[in-house]
Amino acid sequence: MSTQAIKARANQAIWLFLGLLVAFSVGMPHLETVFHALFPKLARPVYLQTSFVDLLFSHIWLVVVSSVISVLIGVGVALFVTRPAGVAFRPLVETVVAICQTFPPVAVLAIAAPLIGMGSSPALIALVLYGLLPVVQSSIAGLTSVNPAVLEAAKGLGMSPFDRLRRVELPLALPVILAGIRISVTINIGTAAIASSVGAKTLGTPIIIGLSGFNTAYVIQGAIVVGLLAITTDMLFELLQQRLERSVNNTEKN
Amino acid sequence: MKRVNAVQLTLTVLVWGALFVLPLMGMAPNRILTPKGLSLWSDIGGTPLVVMLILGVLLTLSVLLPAKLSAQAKKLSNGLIYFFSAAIVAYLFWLAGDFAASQVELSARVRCSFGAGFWALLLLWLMSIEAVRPLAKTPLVSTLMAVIFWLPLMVLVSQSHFQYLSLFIEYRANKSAFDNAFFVHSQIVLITLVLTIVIGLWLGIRSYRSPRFGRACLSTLSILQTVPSIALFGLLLAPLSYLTKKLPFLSELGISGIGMTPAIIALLLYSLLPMVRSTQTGLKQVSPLMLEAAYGMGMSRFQCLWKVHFRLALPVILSGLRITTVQAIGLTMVAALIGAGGFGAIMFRGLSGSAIDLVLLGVIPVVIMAAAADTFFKMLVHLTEPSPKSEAATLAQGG
Repeated sequence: MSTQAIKARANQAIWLFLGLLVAFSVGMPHLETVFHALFPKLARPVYLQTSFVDLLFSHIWLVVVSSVISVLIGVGVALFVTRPAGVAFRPLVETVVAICQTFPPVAVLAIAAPLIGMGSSPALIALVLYGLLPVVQSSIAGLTSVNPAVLEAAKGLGMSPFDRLRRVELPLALPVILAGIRISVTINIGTAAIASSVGAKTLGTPIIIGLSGFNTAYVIQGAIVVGLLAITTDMLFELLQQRLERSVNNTEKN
Repeated sequence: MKRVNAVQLTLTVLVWGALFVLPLMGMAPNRILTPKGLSLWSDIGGTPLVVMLILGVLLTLSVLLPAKLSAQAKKLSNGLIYFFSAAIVAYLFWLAGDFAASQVELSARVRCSFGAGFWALLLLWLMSIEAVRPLAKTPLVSTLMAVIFWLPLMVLVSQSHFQYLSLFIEYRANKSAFDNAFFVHSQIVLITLVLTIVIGLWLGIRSYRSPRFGRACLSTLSILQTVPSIALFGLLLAPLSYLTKKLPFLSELGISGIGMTPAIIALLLYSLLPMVRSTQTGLKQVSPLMLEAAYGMGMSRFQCLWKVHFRLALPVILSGLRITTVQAIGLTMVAALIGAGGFGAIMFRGLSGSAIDLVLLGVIPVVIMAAAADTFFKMLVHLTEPSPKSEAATLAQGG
């Protein structure tokens, strides 16, 4: 199969998963007969306390807000330690990131909740903190991987340091930074699901309620929608990365 | 050369902040209430304040010691920085235990815990090790550095100096649950690792031999990797309990929908990606010339695979195993939600009772386990990394 054909198939897969995601979140109440047949002993086989569309949106909102903050701070830190003024701090930042990554994401959440209180705010803080790590790591990697000859050439053209950053360094580093953001968002979708155990309203809520109330149907419904959300998001990133790489390659050829 | 090291100066400013602005300790009238922060400056005061001030000034002076003079002076400055920051940490530990003991004497129900300042100082300490890293060039110096840090801590632990701190009261109250959690947690991780190594190596070798199989295998595993852990655990629940209902002999084997079995299956699915990927890359990056040479020396196909090809790929495979292990230790915490037990169970129990010390009792051992596994595998990778000389030796040995 040619690469063109593989890519075309990947694009179709995104539509498939996106369609399934929408279908399951909107149509879950209509699946009552199916779940009733699967779990005949359960009196209420479909989670109806909050609609899945609501849960999906508050899940996405939590992940988007935390990821935007993580990216702003993370790229900022990486920019600082790759400039001459901050280069001395680079080993330090890299060590801290490495130390913090041995922390399980759940642990950050569990420590934040008793200190800050229940609800969405401990979830948001945990998500931002943990999401920072891959972004910082990949941004440093991306910014330092830019070919010095290219930078030298930009300098030779008379570009100011800011122009070099904006028009040369950041565009060239973008694919690597994006790979870090992708990891960060994937982790955050999972941690946001667990955050329902500290009272945040996310797609994990039916899972947690189902697990504590022995309602396997709720668990499956939550798991399916959150799984579809994760896979669809990852595919979107894949597509974005492919587009970016293509455009970077094109610029390099020109 | 600049006069003062900017990194060390920043860390010192942060140390002052953690010591005097953040609450060093927390105290609550009983177990349920949220601890109130106590700062060294206004609430603790007395001798500890004076000692910390002196240590802080000494640390600052050693940072400001002009490094311009000579390389010798710079070495001295680094040594002093390490010594005084170790002294601050050691005194901090002593102070925490002592403070707790004195408060518990006043009222037996009082719970003393570490405050934000304490944790900040601990993190700063880890950073400062990095900041003076150039110091530890010889084994003698690095041993000395380790002794300076660990000796005071060991002495304090051996004298059960920490017994009145809330965390340790929680530990004593939950000792059997803690021991059991340690056993179960390690058991889950070890079983997962053994399965990951066996299946991962097999899939990795197949992926190396057939790129087509490799692509399919890796893309399936990476889709699985994106599925949130809680969802994967949940999705395994139903089919497994269905299976055990249909095939009763499975439950006699101890396999059921909740507990360890779905946990191990889910962990295995997550663990396979780093393992298969690193096996495939490891085998791929071995130079064909080495393999050619091995054949030329009359090695059999099997010898060639195990003694040369696999041996040379080992560092890469081990670094995949490192990622797998650290990840599995952390993910096992989530598995507590489906009744697998382990430290996650203690953590979630603390979370539902909003008892921060019980949460920490579940989290701290996991972080230590993950850090230990990380260090262990990094060491293994380092040991197996072939120098040019030993590459020749591998060949010579095999032939």
